[in-house]
Amino acid sequence: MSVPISQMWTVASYVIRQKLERRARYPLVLMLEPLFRCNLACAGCGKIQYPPQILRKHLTVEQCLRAVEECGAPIVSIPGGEPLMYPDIGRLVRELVARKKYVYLCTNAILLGEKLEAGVFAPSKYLTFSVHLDGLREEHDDAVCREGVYDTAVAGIREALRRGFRVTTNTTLFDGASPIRMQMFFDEMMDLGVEGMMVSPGYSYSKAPDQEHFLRRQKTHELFRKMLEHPKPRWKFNQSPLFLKFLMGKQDFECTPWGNPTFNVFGWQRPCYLLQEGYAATFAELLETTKWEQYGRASGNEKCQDCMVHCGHEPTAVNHTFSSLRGFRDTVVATVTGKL
Amino acid sequence: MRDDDDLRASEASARSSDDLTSYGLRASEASYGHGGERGSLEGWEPVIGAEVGLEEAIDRAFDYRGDVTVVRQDGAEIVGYLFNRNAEVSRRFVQMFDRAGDGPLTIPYAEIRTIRFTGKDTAAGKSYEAWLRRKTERPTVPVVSDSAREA
Repeated sequence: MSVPISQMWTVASYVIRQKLERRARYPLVLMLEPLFRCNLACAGCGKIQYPPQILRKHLTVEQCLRAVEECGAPIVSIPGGEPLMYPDIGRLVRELVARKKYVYLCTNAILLGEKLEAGVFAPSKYLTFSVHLDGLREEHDDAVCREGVYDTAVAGIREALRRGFRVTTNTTLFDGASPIRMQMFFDEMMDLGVEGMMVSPGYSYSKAPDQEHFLRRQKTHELFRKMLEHPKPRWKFNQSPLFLKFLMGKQDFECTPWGNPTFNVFGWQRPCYLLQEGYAATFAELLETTKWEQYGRASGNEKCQDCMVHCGHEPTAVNHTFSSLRGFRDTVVATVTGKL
Repeated sequence: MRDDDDLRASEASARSSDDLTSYGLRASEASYGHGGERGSLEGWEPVIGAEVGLEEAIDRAFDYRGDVTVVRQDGAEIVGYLFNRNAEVSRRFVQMFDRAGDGPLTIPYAEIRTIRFTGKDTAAGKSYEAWLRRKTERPTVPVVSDSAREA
């Protein structure tokens, strides 16, 4: 585990507070999408297929801050679209850091070097650049459908690290991913000096015609077991070890769809970051009026049957850590020993 | 100027991407068999009542990744992107951003006569197979530096 103690403490005390207040549903990470516009068209992403007037839209900083306030989650993840294309990204991050929110700015890093050079950001323990890398050069450039992006992203990472920023990577894995190549990728990222890595399987609708290219549950277990059965001590993952055990099939978790709520130009997305089944005007309305029982594997909803994505299951893993002595013990053991 | 460039890049990306989604993708479900590539609804003008119920037409408009034309009972038309619908409240409604991006406009179901799928389906033709085909037909696009992009 590579999460700093202060961040762990913030999350732990927040979760314990929710439990003491007996809140049945609480958010852990706000997924804040200030815009849908992007400078890439990745093979696994469906966020950018909108008419021009929607791609032109973006949230104001004030709208973003209201959402952060409403939600109350200790961590704010800023995906998109490409957040470095958001015109007020510097101000937004400054405001969030001032509110002591742990910010994960999820970027393809094409513009990272330019923004750093322009002094848009200042290093802070509250700010992490989470750089999208779906594997080594060949795999990543293939996934993002553009040559040279891997090298540009790595250059951005180097520059961010040189300037004292926190940097992690986020990786989505599809069917056909090679465990050995992924292990080489982990080595390369550690050599690069990133603080930690985040990995997650991709998501597909059960009805999608091309679903064979996504990882189904059994394949997900096999891939992650092969990758992580004997993790090198130097590999650092910026996520719950229990979530990694879940991906390896060593732990079974239900989805917590309200754990990573999503806010974008349409409002609060129902029910989760992955499914778009409508929008609520406020976070309270989202929590109160979404039919949560219709989602997650146990619900029988076919869209949820093969989903093992981090945004629904990592909050479950974190909640599990603080729900029982066993959960806490398992997390501590995995964190200290590095064994999964 | 930069924003326009970014938008063009985004639109070009949208045209050249596919719907193999790791993240939420209504687009991949737009296979209703109403013509167009891979069953896109582009150009569909449903006859409400005879062909399909209003509620179903609204659901399909909600799934559609292009502009639609909402025709009110009085004949007035609103063109834009329908991003939300709520059929579980007493006064059921849809929400749209118009073609200028203004909104959201909220329209009760009761005021809608029909919906036409008039805008380009931005998700059409973006199957994984189509992406693979394009990939083999032409080399991948190299990263263009931002200074070059601005030039």
